[in-house]
Amino acid sequence: MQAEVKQVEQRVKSHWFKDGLGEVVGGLMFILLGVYFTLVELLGESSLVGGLLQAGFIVVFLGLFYLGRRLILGLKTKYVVPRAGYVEYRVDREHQMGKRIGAALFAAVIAAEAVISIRVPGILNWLVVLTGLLVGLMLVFAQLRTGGIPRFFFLGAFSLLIGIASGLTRLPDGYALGFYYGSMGVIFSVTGLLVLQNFLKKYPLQMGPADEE
Amino acid sequence: MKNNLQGLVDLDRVIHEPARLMLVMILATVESADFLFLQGETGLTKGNLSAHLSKLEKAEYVRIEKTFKGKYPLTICRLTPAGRRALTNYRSSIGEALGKGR
Repeated sequence: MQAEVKQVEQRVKSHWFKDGLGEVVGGLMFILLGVYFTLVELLGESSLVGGLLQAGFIVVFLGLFYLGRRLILGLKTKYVVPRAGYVEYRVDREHQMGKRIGAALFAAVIAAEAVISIRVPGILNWLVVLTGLLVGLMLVFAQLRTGGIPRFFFLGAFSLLIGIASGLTRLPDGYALGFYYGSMGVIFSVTGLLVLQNFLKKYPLQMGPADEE
Repeated sequence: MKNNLQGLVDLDRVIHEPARLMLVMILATVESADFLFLQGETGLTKGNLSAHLSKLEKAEYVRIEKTFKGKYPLTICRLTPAGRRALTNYRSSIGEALGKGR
């Protein structure tokens, strides 16, 4: 019976991803991060705007995170709840530490990207490769936790490949990061939109009251 | 084994019914869920789902409240501590009767 309970748990968790909105908004946030890094590189630290952008990284990052979260919840309320219903997930204390470590690592890597201006010697821009690897691992982890979303494996592999490709371009850090985040953002958005399109077809708007009580 | 099998007689019949077991198992994995979500996950008809939820509510295993999410009216269901305990007891009883790990 333990296996059945696990299956139900995974199915319910995968519900959050079945509309693709998380990927669409996440993709948009990645594109904005890509624009941010490209702008910082383009304007240079010495310019006023470039310096301000670099100094305000934490605000930009937290702002994007907050806006993304609000946007996802708003869109889900408007488009998903009337079609597929509402569910509030339990706080999974068992895996809470793992999630926090993952989020902290990701934030630390992005912060390092924003702050580090000296290039690591070698063929690859290791920071971009590390980002690709980290995002890839997070996607694979999400797939394993939900147990039914194979597209996350492909997205994870793409993340690593694009991370390596961005590193190999030997572009300045900001452009390489901009390329990575921009490309991943586009891939996330496209897959998210395709998933969303299928979801809207599969779950037409419910007419009338949801229950018969 | 005989004693274990006899334990089946004492199984909680409110939970033992497959549709209600499915509902309780789903609700055990979430904080709360609405009627439409449960309908989608279980594949039950509205009338069936409503009847099973009423039985679970009557047994005080599920709490049902009407609310709104934005402009959208919701019938939110959540498992009570008694419902959670009942599921745990049910799992342990059925596990003992059928042999753990099967």
